[in-house]
Amino acid sequence: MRISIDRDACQGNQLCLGIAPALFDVDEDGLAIVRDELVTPDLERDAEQAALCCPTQAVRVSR
Amino acid sequence: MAHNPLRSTLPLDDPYPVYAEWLADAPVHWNEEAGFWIIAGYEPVKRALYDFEHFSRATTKKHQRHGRAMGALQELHLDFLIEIDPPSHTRLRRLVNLAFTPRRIAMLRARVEAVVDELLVAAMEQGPVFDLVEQVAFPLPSIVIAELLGVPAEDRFQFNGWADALANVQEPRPDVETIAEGDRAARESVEYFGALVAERAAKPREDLISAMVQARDEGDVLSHNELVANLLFLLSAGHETTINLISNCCYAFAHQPDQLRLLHDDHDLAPSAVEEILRYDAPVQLTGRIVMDDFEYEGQHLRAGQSAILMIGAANRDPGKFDQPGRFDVTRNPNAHIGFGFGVHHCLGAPLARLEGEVALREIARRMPTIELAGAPVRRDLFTLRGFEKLPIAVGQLTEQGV
Repeated sequence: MRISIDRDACQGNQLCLGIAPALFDVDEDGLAIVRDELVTPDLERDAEQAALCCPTQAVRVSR
Repeated sequence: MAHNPLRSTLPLDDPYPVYAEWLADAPVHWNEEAGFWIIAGYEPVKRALYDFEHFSRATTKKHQRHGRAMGALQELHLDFLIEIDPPSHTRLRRLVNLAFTPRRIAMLRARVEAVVDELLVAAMEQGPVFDLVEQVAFPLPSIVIAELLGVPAEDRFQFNGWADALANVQEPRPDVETIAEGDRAARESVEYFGALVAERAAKPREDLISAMVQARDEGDVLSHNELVANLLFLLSAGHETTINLISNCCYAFAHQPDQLRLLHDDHDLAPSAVEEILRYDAPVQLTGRIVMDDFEYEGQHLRAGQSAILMIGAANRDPGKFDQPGRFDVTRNPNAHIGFGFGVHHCLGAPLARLEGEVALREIARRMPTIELAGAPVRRDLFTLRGFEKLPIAVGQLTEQGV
């Protein structure tokens, strides 16, 4: 599984960071960044959860 | 709103002891008298907030009207960001979101600081006793949101009437009269914003309305109805809640002067104080959903079509999530409150609310070493939006050393 952030959509609410701190971080603009594009199997549920909960649908998940 | 079914269950002044009972005994329960589910526990509320397939927002308003003819407000609601589910929500929110990115909001900081300074200087010039709502908490967000949208500041008292009418309709099971007032506000505001949109279409400016008009005209991304509806939605949402954030926090300071002192001594605590008041006495206490399926939730059998009230204010006091939840602690960290909601309807204006809250609380604490109540506060008679109509306070004076 791969994850990415749509930087135009991100509003910096940091919900993804709260759900999966192992996968996401924020940059100096307060926008989300991914720590690693590749998600290990044990974190796939967290990645999906973060995508589902993002208020601006800025977390992209692909297989 | 005589029929509000929460009235017989919840004391408006202090609902928290009842919340504590729910959290201890029945975090998800059916309220027989009201005929809806009450969901109070932190995890159950949070899950219901993001699981829009089981708990829909889109049908809530339709359900509340119980088959009555569709009024002007309900037609507007069909396009309100807060009243729709994905995928329509995703498309609309993306557009409106552009105005609320951290970068755009950061650009407003200097202006917010100037407005706060102006309001506090004017309030404190009158003497040590003033109404915090009238002098500071009400004007700040209404000036800022009006400027951001690009609506004339002198019209803002009219908006307040509309925002009031909309706030009343957010209560569980609004009565016919309340809905009629909402409909009137809807018709007036559609006319008002329709005219403003036409004006900006002819003569664009550097404001959000012009940007949204441009988005409407650049393809089928934003219809005229969606544009007008969401201008009203942004205006009222930007009004109400920040008033409550600031006044609820000052009310808490009046009761717990040690917390004001902490912020007075260390202004860097202002962002953390904002998060704590969003948890401790959240401006939005509850939100309604419609159950979309028959399923088991936290050991209860929910059925399609039933209403569920998600009690954000209770979830934020869940002892399973927060250490000493009844303690107002401006240094609380971590603080995973859901005062802004969670999931797709997480507050669109959160970056703006955080900025306004941070600047206002910092400047209040800097200039006021003590805050005491100077007369009886008047609460807004609402369960959804928790705050004050009047909050008379007496502020202590700074000594010459500025301490």
